[in-house]
Amino acid sequence: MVKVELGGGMRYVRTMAVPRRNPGELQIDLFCHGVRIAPDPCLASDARPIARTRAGLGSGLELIVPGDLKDLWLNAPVEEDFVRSSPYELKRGETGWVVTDTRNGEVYPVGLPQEPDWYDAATSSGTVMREIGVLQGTYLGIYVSNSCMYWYKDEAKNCRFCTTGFNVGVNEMADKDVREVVETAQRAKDESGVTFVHFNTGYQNGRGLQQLAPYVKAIKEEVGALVGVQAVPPAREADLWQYDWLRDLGCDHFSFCYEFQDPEWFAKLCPGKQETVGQQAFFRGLEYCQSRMPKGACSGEIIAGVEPLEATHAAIDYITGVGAFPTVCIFRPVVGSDMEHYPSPAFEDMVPIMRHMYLACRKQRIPIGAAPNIEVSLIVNPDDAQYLVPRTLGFRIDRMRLGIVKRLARSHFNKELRKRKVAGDLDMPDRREGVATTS
Amino acid sequence: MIVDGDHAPVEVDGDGPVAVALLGALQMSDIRFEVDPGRAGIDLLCLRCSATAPNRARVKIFAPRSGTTVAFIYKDPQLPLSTDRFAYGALVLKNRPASDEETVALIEYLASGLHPELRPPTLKRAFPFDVPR
Repeated sequence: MVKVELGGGMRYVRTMAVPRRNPGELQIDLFCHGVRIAPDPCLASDARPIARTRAGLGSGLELIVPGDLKDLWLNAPVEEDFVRSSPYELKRGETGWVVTDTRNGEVYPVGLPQEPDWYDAATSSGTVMREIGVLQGTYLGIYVSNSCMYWYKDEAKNCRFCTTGFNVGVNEMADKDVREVVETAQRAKDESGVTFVHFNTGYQNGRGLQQLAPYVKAIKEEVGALVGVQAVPPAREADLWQYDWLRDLGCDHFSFCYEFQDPEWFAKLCPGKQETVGQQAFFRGLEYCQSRMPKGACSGEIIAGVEPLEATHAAIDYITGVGAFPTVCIFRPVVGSDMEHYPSPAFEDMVPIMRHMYLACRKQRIPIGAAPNIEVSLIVNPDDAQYLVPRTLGFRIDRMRLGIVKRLARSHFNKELRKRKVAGDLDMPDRREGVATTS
Repeated sequence: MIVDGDHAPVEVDGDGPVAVALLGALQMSDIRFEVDPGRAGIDLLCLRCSATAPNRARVKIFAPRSGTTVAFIYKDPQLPLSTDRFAYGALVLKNRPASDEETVALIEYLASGLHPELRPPTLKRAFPFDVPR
């Protein structure tokens, strides 16, 4: 590979045969190129249906890449235009599904997670459960309410890479009742072993955190699962106490999707976030929450492959520096999005980013991979990137350390996976003093 | 012109005068739209192909509530196991017919295969109702 200037930017150009990928490299290469699917009548019965429900950046086929350190989940692009020229093809091999790299003939066995039975089950109100929430990897993702309000402005202020507004009401229910969410989450826990339920609201005119409260409480008290929340943070510092309130209601994790570190890229591609709260609100929220919660309880969500790579490096350093973990999505020009015609990032650019993510987490001693059975298919999980570093003695000692942390955390997580009465009340306290949780 | 699965011209009935007027405009257009009777509302596939690929643009005309008519623009997935619809927005008409400009822009957008530069400015990107299958 050589790096050359092409079309106004630096790009890698292939000059030699592509080597066999290890599982971590294959995951990244599949994110960047997507996978073509050979016609096969068995695919529909073997695989999870492709569902872009609640998908900002994902709309693909769920795959599992087996590995000796861990199996890797990914949502591989299949519908986007760039996939037509992908070197990867999915087909049925003699012993199961394989991905073949047509550049070098390498064959990689992959798993296709099956569609859970509960996807087609109905809630007591008659809604099909897949329209309430879908598995994204091994967790249940639920977009709780009407679409992100950035989509409703006369001049749309939606994030330019996102298609969420196009999904709600089209591919999923517009309004989700707490009862239906509880029923869906219970089936997902019982039948799919789900341990983590993640709620997202998009922008709700500053009321996102309030809107999520009843769902958080219901899952903790009636299902018993780890609960994560993603909402546009309050614009005012004085309103950050709402996070404490949600913690009282049982929330275990907050994620802050600020997408781009460079303020100019943030403003350009996230015009709604820029106009309503500003990039600093995300930093303020992340720092506030992470400073009050165990290391690695919060995350900063960014997109790699659009802004300059140095900015993505800086984002990873910032997020891990505050004690949170980075969730790094590889940019995908999703069908229907404003950035549909942008190029997909280069594998050679993404590998150093993900390697840096892993190393930064280890440098800051972020306990990655400690929570039970949480594999996020839309991103390269921090511990997925362990495949990208040499297996030195230090690496092995580090893995041993993480194993110990995981064992020590087990009892805490087991407790959180049982139904429990939460300390908080749904009546929103008038002010910070009304919140039980303190730092 | 609106045609059936055999590409024979066909008349379709809209739900209310706003839908009837919009369908009338599509009927009079020199671009062919194939109606799919198996889908909710009046669901039409634009048959004008580009030089390189078949046109995947579809429009579904339906009434989510009394007094509101919607022309929902979308593409079907390319993969048979996908249940997704790729939405591109909707012309939402509340107690009024589509203007001539809106109708022309809509037809041009569909005929272009949903080219981003031809996106009608009045298309709503999000709407507070479910789009029937």
